[in-house]
Amino acid sequence: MTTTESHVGAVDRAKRRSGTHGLLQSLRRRPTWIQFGGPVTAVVILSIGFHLVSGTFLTLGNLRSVVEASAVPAIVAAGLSFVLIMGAIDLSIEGVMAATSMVVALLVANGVNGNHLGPLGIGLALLVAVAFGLCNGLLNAVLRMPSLIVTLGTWFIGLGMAAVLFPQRVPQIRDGLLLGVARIRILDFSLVVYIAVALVVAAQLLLNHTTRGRMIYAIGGEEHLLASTGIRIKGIKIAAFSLCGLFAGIGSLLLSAQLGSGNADIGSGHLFPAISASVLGGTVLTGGRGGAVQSALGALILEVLNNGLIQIGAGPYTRNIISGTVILSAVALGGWNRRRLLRVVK
Amino acid sequence: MQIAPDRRTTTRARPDYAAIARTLGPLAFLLLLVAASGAVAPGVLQADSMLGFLSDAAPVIALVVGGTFPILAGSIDLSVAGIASVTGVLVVVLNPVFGPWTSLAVVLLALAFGAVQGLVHCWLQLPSFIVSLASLSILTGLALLLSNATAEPIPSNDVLVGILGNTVAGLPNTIILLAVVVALLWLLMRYTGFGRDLYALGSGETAALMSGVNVRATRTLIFMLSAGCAAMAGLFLVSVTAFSSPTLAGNLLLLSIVGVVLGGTAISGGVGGLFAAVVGGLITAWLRIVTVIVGVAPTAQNIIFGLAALLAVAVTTDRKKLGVIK
Repeated sequence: MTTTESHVGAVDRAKRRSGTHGLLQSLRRRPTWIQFGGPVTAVVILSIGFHLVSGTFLTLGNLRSVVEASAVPAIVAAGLSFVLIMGAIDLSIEGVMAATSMVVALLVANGVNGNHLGPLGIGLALLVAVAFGLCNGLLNAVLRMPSLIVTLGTWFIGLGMAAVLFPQRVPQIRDGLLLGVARIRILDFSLVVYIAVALVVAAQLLLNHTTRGRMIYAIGGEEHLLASTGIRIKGIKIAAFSLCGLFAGIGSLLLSAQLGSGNADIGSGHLFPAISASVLGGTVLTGGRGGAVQSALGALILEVLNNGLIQIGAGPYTRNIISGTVILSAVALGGWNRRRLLRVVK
Repeated sequence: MQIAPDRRTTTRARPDYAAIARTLGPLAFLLLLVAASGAVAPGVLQADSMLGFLSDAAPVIALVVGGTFPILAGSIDLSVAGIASVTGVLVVVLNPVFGPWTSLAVVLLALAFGAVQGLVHCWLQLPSFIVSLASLSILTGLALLLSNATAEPIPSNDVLVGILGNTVAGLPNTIILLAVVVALLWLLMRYTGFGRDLYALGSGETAALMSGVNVRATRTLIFMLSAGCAAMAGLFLVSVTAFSSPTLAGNLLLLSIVGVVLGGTAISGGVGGLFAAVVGGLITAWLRIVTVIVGVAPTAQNIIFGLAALLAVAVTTDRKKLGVIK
């Protein structure tokens, strides 16, 4: 990402922060509970709106399917927030998911080869996902290449790896442990939902209640200040990218379990929603703001939108259009008050 | 190739070896690549296969040429592949409205779309990557929605696509049109204020801004040109396949960026140009042939191009200019 802000811009911003400001400015300094309140209100209003139009939205069955459908997007979006809060970006999510899905399907008991590694196979697949993130982080932090272009490269490397690994026929997963994750239901929700909730909460705690987590916000805020104070930030950047890879990998494992097979196309359609979910939840793309729970709530909003729009008769192909429009309008609204005459945005 | 005014050239009397290497390196690499594959498979160097290669390379080169403008200004346009796909779909869908002139209308639409994209990017001050990523998402959905996710034959009455499918004196018309467009763009960059402004934005935008460069107009034009070239690439693609498909240019997103960086245009902006774009496009297209000769499965091509992108960016990025690297 190449958003460079001049010194003039920085001073300008500092002045503005201390001065008087409009509604948007005061919203930005809202306490934590209001940060969650915004997305939750949006979910409620949207749900009621859709129910008024379709009459079938607010049924127990439908709400349950909305929650089930938003579980994996929420995990992916929560993982992505680590990177977005730093002000960087990870486009490689879909590639990581594809590679992880193929690796796990070929390592656990499956219908194609004789492998039967069980938990070890699952662990190895997650290692692959972490390795992708690690690679992104190393290239970005150590070789100093913009994360945008690095992750664009690894996105396609992941897709290529998945395509190369794909055997002659679809690798059916026969591992009891992995399949069980999708099958076991507690209180009428599948285990996937509980895993998602646990991961999102863990990510939030990591971000807000550990020193390293706070450093991620600091990197997104004023990285050059941080660097000039001598704090070592490379390790934190690498860790953030690795975590993003890990979360994408877990999401991919859960999807593979639900599908019952490895799929080289499993990640397709997860990148845009993850970015728009994070942005919707209040994670600003210039960094320094947002959180895992907010991003997960953003994923829930998107799923409500998708489900509702399909119920009121929009076709299945509108999904991408909605994601794109949501990204644009959310980013535009969130960044409106930062516009400056002499600001340089690449 | 034009080299942007560089600190090194002004403070040192010695020739700028870095700039020379940046210009000639990719060209030498291209020649080496062609020579090496000629040695392994002599067939590829015959006139027929060369012409086939060129018309195969035309869409990639068009995308790379278009993608060079935003990157020269330090921005990026990730939506080009989406525009190319939608172009193919629109040529079919809008045919009842515009008749034989549909493809021209579609190119104009693309230019307008690019202009809107550029305006949104600089007026709202949103990073170009997020604007173009969002439009890529919108365009992907639009292509599926408009075509109902089916491939359809291109109407035979379309004038421009008809011309593109023909040849003049053995030369495919796609190549002739591409050459004309590149020449026009070169004139635009060489002899108008736009060219200078473009390099000024890429070399130091704050300075350009303060010296009165109309950043908004320049950026709008940049994204117009990028979208226009992408639409042209889409027309090239459908003139070969004779079918429009909503995922026509799906895998060209990476290739369009890879081509730009392989040609020596730096992702950090201000360095590179049209010559680099054409060379980069040729390298990318030729690499696809090499992968076939070497026996890399088509599915593995993404790995090669991903690695090539990483390598080229690692070498060409001016890290000093970017300051904090996100």
